[in-house]
Amino acid sequence: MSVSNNIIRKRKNMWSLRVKSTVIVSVSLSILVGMLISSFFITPDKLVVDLQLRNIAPSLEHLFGTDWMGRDMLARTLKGLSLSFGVGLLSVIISSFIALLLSLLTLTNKAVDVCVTWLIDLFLSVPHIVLLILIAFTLGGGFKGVVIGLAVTHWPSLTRLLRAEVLQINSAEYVAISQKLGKTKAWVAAHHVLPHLLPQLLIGSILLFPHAILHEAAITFLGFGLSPETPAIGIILSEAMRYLSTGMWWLALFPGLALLVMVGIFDILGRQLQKWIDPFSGDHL
Amino acid sequence: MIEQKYRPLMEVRQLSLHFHQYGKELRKMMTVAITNFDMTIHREEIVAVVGASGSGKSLLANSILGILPKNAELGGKLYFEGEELTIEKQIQLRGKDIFLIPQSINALDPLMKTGKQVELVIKKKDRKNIRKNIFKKLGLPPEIGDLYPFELSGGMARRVLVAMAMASEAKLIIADEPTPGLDIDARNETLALIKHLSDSGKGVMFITHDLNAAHSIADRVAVFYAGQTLEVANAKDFSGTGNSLRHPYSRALWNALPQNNFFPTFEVQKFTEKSPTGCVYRCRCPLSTDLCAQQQPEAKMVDNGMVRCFHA
Amino acid sequence: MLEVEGVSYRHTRQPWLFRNLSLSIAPGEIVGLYGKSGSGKTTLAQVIANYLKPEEGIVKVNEKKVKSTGPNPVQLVWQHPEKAINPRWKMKNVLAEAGNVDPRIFDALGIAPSWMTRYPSELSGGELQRFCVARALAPNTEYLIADEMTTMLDAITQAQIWYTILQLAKKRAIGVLVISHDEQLLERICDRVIDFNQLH
Repeated sequence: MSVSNNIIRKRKNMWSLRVKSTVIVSVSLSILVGMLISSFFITPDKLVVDLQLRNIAPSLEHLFGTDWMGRDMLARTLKGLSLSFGVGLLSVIISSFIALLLSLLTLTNKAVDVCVTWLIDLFLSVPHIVLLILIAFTLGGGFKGVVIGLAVTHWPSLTRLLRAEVLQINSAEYVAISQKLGKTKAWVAAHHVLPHLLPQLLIGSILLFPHAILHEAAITFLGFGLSPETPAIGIILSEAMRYLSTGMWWLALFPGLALLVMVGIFDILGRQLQKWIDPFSGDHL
Repeated sequence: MIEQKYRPLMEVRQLSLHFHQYGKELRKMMTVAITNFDMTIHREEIVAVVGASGSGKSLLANSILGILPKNAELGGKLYFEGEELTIEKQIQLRGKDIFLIPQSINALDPLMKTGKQVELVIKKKDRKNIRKNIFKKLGLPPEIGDLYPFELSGGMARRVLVAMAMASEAKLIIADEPTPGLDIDARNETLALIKHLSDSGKGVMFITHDLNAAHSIADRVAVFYAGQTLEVANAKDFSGTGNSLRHPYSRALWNALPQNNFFPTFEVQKFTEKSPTGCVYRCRCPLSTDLCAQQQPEAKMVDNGMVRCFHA
Repeated sequence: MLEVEGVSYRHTRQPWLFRNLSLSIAPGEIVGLYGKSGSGKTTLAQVIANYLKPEEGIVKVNEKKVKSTGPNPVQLVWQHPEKAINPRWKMKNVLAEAGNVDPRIFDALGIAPSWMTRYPSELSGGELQRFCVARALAPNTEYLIADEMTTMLDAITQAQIWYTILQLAKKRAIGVLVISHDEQLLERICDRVIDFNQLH
C-alpha cells in the first residue's frame, strides 16, 4: 500500500494517555499506601508526652513540629489519617451497598421506584452536615456514631446515579428480549443490569471517599464526632485552633494539608479509573 | 459520451482513512476504515457506492466534506474540478459547491420554517421565487414553506432536503443512505428526486446498501467491501445473471437479490484473522488461491470501469 | 395456529394505530406484511410477540392465550441487531440466553465458531443479526416475527439468513410473519402477502 506517503490530514502527535494515566495512578497510590503503612510503625511511645520538647517549630528532627505537650505532629497526623481512612472505608462500603440495593429494588415495580426516588429527594433536601450531626449526636458520637451517620447520609447521590443507569438498561431492547426468552426479573437484574452497574458503583464509591473523609473531619472538629482522646484529624485541627493565636501555625497547617492531599488522591484515583473503564466519557482524544 | 466532454467533477485517488483511538484500559488502537478507494464523478452523472452496513461507506462522505473527527488520519488525493481539494478548500466548498443530503431528516433546523431554510442556501436575489419554483418542480405545495419541520411527514421533510440541494448551486451532491426505512412509494420518489438532481446538471455520489436502488438510477456503481472498492461497473452490467460483472463479490451481490436468484453464497471462511496482505475478499471468495492471500490485487482499468481481482 | 383476534392499540392519549385487527398464521406458513411507514406495523409486531399489551383483543397460540412469563412461543427479531444484544456480553452468552439452540442452526446461518468469543462491537450488523435469528430460533419457538429484519443488511447476508429460515420453517413447522417494505423479497419468500391497511 503506497498510501501513507501523501497524507492529507494527519492528527497531531500526542502523549499516550495510557502512560500518563499509569504514572498518575502509581504516584498517587504510592503516596496513599506510604501514609497508611507508616502509621503502623507509629508505636504509642512515639506519641508520648515529653514536656521538654514542647512547641518546637518544624525542623529536620520533627518535620511537622511538636505540640504543646511535646508530641510529634507528623506521628499524630499519620495516625489521624489512617483513622480517617478506616472510618471513610467502612462508611463508603455501607453507603455503596445501600445505593446498590436501593437502585436494584427500583426494578421490582413502579411503586418501589417512586418510594426510592422520594427517599433520595428527602435525604438530598436536608443539608448533609446537619443530618450527619443529628444522626451522630443521637447515636452518642464516637466511632460507631460517625460511621453510621456517614453511611446513612452518603448514599443518595450515588443511588440517583445508579437508578438512572438501571432505568436506561431496563428499557433496552435486549432486556425485553431476555424476558421474552423466559428469563425472570431477578435473572435479568443479576446478568444484564448488575454487570453494567459495577464499574459505575466502583467509581462512584471511590469518589464518595473524599466526601466521607471531609465530613468525618468536619463533625469531629465540631465536637460531634470521634471522642477527643482519639488522634483524629478533626480533633487535631480543633485543638490547634486554641494555639493558633500564639503563633503555632504548624499545628493546623500540616495536618490540614495532609488531609487535603489524601482527599485529592482519592479524587484522582476515581477519575483515572473512570477513564480506564470508559475512555469515551467526555474526554476528547 | 459524457465522460469525454468534461473533465471529471470529482476525483478520489487512493483514499485511505485510519482512526487512532483509545480502547478499554486506555490502550492505543488504530482502526483502518478505508484503504485504496478510487472513484471519479462527472457532471450529470450518478455514481452509486454500494456496500454493506459497517463497511465504512458513510465515512467516504465525511472524508470528502472534511468533517472527520480529530483522531482521523486521511491519506490519498482528492481533486475537485481538477484542483486539489485541501482542508481549506473543503471548508470553503462544503455547503456551496459540495452539498450533503444527510441520512436523517433530523438534520433540518427544528426552529426555522422550511421555506426559510431553503432560501438561506440560495445565493442569488429573488430567493422567494426561486424557492417557489423549486418547490413546484418537486411537487411540494407552496404552503409547506411556512411550516416547521415537525409539522411535515417524513417524505415531505426528505423532499425539503432535496429542495435545499437543488437550491444550492452545488455541483456535487452527496446522498448518504437516503432510502432505508421508507415504504416503496417514498423510496421510489426519493430515487426520482435524486435522478432529477443529476438531470439538472449536478454530479451525484449516491451512498447506499441497496443494490437495487443503486443500479436503477446510477450510471456507474462502485462496489465497496471492507473499506475498498472491489469493482466499478456500468449500471447496465447489473443485468441477467450478472455475467458482465467482473468481481466475484459483485456477482454474488447481484445474484442474491430477491428478484434475481436469491442465491445465498455461503462463506468459505478459510481465514479468520484479518491480515493486511492479500485480497480483502479472499476469505469469502470461491475463486481464492494462494496468490490472493499473498498479494493485494492492483486495480485494473477495464471498459470505463475498474476491478480489483486476479481472476477478472 | 397463531391467531390474532380483534386487537387494538394506541399510545397513551393518541389516536388508534389499529383497531379490531385480526390475522392468523398456520405452522410452517410464511406470511408477508407490507404497508406505509409509520402505519403501526412495528407496534403490531410487538403486540403479537407480547412486548406490548393490546387495549382490546387477544393473541392466541394453539387456542391458548400467550402467557407473559416463561419462554414465549412467538419470538420477534428486531430491525437493529446492535440494540438487541447486550454490548458487554460475549456472543456465546448471547446465544446461551435462548437455552439449547441446535448448533446446526449456527452453521446453517453462517456463524463462524471464532465469533463466539468476540464482543458485539467486534462484529458487523449482518453478523450480529445472524446471532439474533439463531437466538430467536430457541427450542420453544413456534412462530417468528421478522420486523424489517434484513432491511439494513446487504443482499448476500439477506439471502443467507432467509434461506436458512425457510428451511427450518419447513422442518420444524415454524410459522413466520415477514414485515418488510421490499415487495420483491416478500414475493420471493412468502406463501401469501397481506396489506396492513386492509387488516383493520
